[in-house]
Amino acid sequence: MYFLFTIIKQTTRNFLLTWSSQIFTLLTVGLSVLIFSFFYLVYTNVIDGAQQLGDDLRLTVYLDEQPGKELQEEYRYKIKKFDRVDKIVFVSSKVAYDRFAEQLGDDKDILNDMPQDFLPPAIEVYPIKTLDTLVRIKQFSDYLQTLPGVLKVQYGREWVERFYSFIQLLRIIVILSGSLLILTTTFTVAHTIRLTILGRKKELELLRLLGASSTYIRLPFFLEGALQGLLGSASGIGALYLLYNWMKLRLAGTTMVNLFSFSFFEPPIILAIIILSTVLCASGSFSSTRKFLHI
Amino acid sequence: MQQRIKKPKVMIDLIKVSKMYPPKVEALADISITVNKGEILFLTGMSGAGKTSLLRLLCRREKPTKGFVEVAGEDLSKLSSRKIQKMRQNIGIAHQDFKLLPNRTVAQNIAISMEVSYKTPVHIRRRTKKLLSQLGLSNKINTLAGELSRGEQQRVTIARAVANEPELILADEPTGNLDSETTGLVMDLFNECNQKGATIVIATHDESIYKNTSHRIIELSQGYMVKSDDAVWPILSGIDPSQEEHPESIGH
Repeated sequence: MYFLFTIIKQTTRNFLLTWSSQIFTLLTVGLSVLIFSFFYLVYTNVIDGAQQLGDDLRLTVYLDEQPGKELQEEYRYKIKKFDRVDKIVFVSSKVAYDRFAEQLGDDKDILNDMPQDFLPPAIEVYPIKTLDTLVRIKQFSDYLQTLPGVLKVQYGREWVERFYSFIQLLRIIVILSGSLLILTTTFTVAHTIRLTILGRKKELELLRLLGASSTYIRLPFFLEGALQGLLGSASGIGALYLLYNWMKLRLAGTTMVNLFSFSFFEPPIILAIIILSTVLCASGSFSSTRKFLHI
Repeated sequence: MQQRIKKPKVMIDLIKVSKMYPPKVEALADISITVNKGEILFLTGMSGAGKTSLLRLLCRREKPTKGFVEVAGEDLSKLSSRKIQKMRQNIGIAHQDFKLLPNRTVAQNIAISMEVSYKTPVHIRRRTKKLLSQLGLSNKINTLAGELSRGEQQRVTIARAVANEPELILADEPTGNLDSETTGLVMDLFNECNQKGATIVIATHDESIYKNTSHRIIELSQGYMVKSDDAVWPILSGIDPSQEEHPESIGH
């Protein structure tokens, strides 16, 4: 117990000794966590949004003639062989005609002179609603095009491709901001710990002469780093939460908000970000003590 | 029937120890000294005689160029860093240059030696107060060490050295900045520690503290041991220390 008391006392001393650097470190860690978690939050929400939009995503495969029962089964088999799908619906020319008429509403009279089988029969393929599906949809479309009797495959190609590029960009930003987080936390904390070590040089020399154990000398620095990570990341996440609520209020009622349902991180993700930052800062501190603290 | 002679346990054993500093400064030459547990030893000599170098070897701040240094039966050159740390917790050192932390209070400077061995806060507070009272510094408990006079700083250093109740106390010129009255307080404190079993090595050129002493005196000059007034010490004379009431009475 006294061991813990003494170590905490030493850690507090370290904090007070270089308080200006400590504040700077906390701000840096907090800001890095804020930047990373902001983009990560956008990324996760966009992925969720993509899944919502994916509800309407389907590939329409136009056929040259109405397939019989056997051919339908063959189509089903070949489609499922390529990828998992939510459902496959065969639409006959008659059903396509009826749908079209329904879409036209009061103007359906214009179809009066048209034969009821003028629209080609089609297969509607509803992919599983995941981001991977969006990524692979072009491949899927190309595959469907190769099936016998297929005239044309249609899907929101332009939208999907743009969306995919956007997701890729977001991924890169998340990776970059994650790298920034790793670099800033590790190096800033290592630098602050180095300052603390230099500031306590005389004391550390004295502690060695008094027989202080390696744990007694090193542990407070390690704790200092971990504490910087804990407080910095907690404040970064706190700031993001405030920003999130502020944006939600500001954007309330806009098309964007109506289209997607934005949500904040689940508690396990918050915990993971805080633990990760704490571990990173502690490792920065550890590397600094290994380099500059010779016992 | 012949009386069985008990050998007192040895605290310090220096065997043919030499210490050279670059380029070719011989600080100590061929020194052999044995100090028993509970003994007070005065190391005397002019400045540059090698007193501080010898004390530095005893706490493993430095290694000898030649010879062996044993403390409490352990060869210091073979000790692991963990064992050195443990050993140093049992050695109280009053440094000649004080080694106080100027931006810490007197109490904090003394407490630090007890904190490293995880003493309880209550014990640390009590011990600090007691020592400061013994050394006439009760009113300075919350004063920053940097604001003290040299004499006061010296007493704080001594208080820190004895605070952890170490088995071995090494004092380097402990009375160099003190008047006769405070010198008396310091020597009383050392005697009290010695009566509780501590072995004390005092490096000094202050003749007043060893002039009428009953303890052993070793004089160094330019790294050589020129005079060892140890003829009556039990290990050499064969006196059984268990017959003695307390270590202070051993000797002349």
